[in-house]
Amino acid sequence: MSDHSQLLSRSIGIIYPIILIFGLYVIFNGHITPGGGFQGGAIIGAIMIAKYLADPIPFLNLEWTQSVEKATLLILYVLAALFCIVTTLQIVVGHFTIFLILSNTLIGLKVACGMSIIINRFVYYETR
Amino acid sequence: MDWFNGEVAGIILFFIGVYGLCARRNIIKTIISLSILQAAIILYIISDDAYSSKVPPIISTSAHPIQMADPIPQALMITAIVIGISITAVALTLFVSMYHHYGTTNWNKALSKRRDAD
Amino acid sequence: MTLILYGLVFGPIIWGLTQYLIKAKWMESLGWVFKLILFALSLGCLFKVQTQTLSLQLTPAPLPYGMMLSVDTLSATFLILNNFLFLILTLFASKGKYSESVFSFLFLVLQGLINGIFLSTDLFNIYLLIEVSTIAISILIMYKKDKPSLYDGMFYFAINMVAMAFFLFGVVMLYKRFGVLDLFHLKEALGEASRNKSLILPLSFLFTSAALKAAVFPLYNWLPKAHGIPSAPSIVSAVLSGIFVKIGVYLLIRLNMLFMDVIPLNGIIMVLGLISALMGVTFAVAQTDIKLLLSYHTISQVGLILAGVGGSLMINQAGGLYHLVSHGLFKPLFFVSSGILIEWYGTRNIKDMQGLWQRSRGLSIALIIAILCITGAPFFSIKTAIYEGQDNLFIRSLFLLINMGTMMSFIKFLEMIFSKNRAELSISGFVSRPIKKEEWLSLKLLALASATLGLFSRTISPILINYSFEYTFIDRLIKWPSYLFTFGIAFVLYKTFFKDNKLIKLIRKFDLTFNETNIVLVSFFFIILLWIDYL
Repeated sequence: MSDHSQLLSRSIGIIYPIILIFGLYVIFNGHITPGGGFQGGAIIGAIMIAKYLADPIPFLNLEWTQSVEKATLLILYVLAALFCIVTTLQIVVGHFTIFLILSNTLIGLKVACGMSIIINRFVYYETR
Repeated sequence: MDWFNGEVAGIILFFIGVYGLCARRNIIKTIISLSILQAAIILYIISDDAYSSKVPPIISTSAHPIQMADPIPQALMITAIVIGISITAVALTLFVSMYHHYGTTNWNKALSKRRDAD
Repeated sequence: MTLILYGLVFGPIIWGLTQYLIKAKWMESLGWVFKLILFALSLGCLFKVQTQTLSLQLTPAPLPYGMMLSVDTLSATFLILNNFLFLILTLFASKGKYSESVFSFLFLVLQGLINGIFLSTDLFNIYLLIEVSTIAISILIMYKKDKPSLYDGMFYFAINMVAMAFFLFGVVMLYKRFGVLDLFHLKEALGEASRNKSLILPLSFLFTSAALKAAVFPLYNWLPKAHGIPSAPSIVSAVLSGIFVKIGVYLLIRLNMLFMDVIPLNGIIMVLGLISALMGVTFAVAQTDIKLLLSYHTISQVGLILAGVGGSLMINQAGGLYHLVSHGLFKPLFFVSSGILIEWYGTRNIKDMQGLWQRSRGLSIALIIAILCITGAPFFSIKTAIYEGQDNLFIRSLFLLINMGTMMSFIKFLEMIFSKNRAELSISGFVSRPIKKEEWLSLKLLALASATLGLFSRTISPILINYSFEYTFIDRLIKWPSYLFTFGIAFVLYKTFFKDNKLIKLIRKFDLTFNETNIVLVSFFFIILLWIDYL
C-alpha cells in the first residue's frame, strides 16, 4: 500500500466519529440494553484500526496509554471494594445504576486502551 | 432455505477453519485459521433457532423469563473472545520472532532449516 | 477450612506478583515458607478427603448456574504431585540464573493455574485454565530465544490451541444439549439420558482433544519437540513431563467417569494406551539424544498408565494411578540430572557420555535408583498391578514386550554410568559446573520420594489413591528372578540387534510437518467417531 487510497481515507474520516459515538452509546447504556463495558470498549478499540487504515502515522504515546490503563484498573478495584462496603453497611439501599454506569465506563476505557496498545505495537513497531 | 441458521453456519465455518489448518503451508494462514475456529465456536453457541423473537435478558423490561435469550452463553463467550484475542496476539508475536531468525513463512522450509541447525 | 482452596489457586499467583514487584533479599526466604505452606495445604486436602469431599462455592448462585472449586480423591492425588514437584524444582533452581524476575513469576503462576485445573468442577473453567497455562508454558520453553526452540515452541503452541478449540466445541455442544456445564449435574443428566446419536459428536470432540493433550499414539508429535528442546531450562522440561502431560490423563479419566453409564470408554482407552506404549518404546530405543530419549519414553509410560486406567478391574486402575504418581516423581529426576550431564559433557549425545561412576558417585546412585523404579523392579515400583488379573495371553505378551522395550532404552543409561572413562574427554565441563548444595538436596529428595513410593506402597497407597495394594514382602521377593531374567533377555537383544543400521536411523529421523499432524488429528477424530458409533 505505497500510495494511500484517498477514497478509503475520506470515507473512514466521515464514519470515524459516528463509530465513536456508537461505542460510547453502547458503554453508557450497558445496564438497560445489551452491551456494556467490554463490548463498547472493543468498538472503540476498532476505531484505532480505522485510524491506521485512514492515515498510517503513529499517534499514540504508548507509556501514557499504559499508565492510563493501570490507573483505570486500580480505580475499578477501589470502586468495587467501596461498593461492597456500602451495601454491607446499608448506607445506600436499592439502586445499583450509578455503580453499573461507572464500572461500565471504566471497563470500556480499559479495554479500549488495551486494544489500542496491542494494535499499535504490532502495526508500527514490529515491522523492523 | 430455513434450515440455514447460526448453528449450521458455525459448523461450516469450523470445518473451513480445520481445512485451512490442514492444507495451507503459510504460518500466517494457520493463525488466521485458528481465529476462524474460535469465531465459529462463538457463533455456534450464541445462535438459538427455537424462537426468533427473543428479548434481551434484562429484568427491568416487562417480559416473561421464558421469552428471554439465554444469558449464560453470552457471559461465557465474552471470556472466550478475550482468550481468542490473546491467543492470536501471542501466536503473532511468536511468529514475528521466528521470522526474524528463520526468514521464511513456510512450515516445511522452516522445518528443513531447523533440521540443518541440528 | 474450605478457604484453603482459594489459597491453592490464587496464592501462587498473588505471591508471584508480589515477588515480581518487591525485589528484596528477605523475600526469598519468605518464598520458601510460602511454598512449604502450599505443600502442607495439599497434604491437608489429601487427608481430609478421605472422609468427605471438600467444596468451596465461588459465586452466590448454586451449582448449575454458578462456579465451585471442589476436591475429591482423584483431584487430591494430582494436587499432591503438583505441589511437591514445584517445591522440589524451585529448590533445584533457587540459586541459579532462573530464580528471579519473569521466569520465577511465570513458574509460580503456572503452579497456581495447574492447581486450579485439578480443583475446578466446570468444563468451561477447565478449558480456560488449560489455555492460559499453555500460553505460560510456551513462553517458558522458549525462554532463551535461540533458533531451534522458536520452531518447536511455535509448533507446540499451535497444535495445543487447535486441540483446545476442539475441546471448546465439544463443551459447547454438550451445553446446547443439556443446559448444564459442571461435572456433577452433567453426570446426573447423562445418567437419565438414553443412549442416542446426539451424544456421539460431543464425545468425539472431547475425546480427541484430551487424547492430544495426553499424547497417545497418532497424536504424540508435539511431545518430543516440546520436551526435547535443547535450550529449554531443565526444570521446565521436568514440569512438562512430570505434570503437564498428566493433565490429558486427568481429562480422559474425568470423561470416562462422566460417560460411564452411557458410552463406556474403557476399551478404547486401553487399546490406545497399549499402542502408544509400544510405539513409544520403539522410538525411544532408536534415539541417541538424551532429552529426546526421555521424552519418547514419557509417551510410552503415559500409554502404560492409560492401559492401566482403561482396565476393567479396580486393581488395574489403581495401579495406573500409582504409576502416574511415581512417574511424575522420577521423570523429573531424569530430566534435571540430564541437564547437569549435558553441561558436564558438553554434548547431547548419550553415546559420547561415559564413565559417570568415577566422576560422581552421588549422581550415579540417584540415576540407578531412578532406573530401578522406571523399569519396574519389584521393590521399587508397582507396575505389575497394571496387568494383574489379565487373562488374555496376547495382551500379557504385549505388556512383556513393553517392559522389555523400557529396559532396553535404559540400558544406554547404564552403559553411560558403568563404562570406563575415555581419556580424551576434557574435564573442563566438570570443573566449571559443580553441583550446588540445593541441587544435591533436591536430587536426593526426588530419589528418596520415588524409592519410598515403591518400598512403602502398602502404607501409602490407601491414603494416596484410596486403594490398598496387598503385596507382602514374600510376594515381591518372588518377583525378583523373573525381573532379572527379563532384564537379561533385554540386554542380549539390545546388544545383538540394535546396532546403528539404516532402520534405526530411519526411525530416529521420522517426523511429521504441521499440516500432516493436523490431517492425522482430523482422521483420528473421524476414526473415534466411527468407533463410538459402532460401540
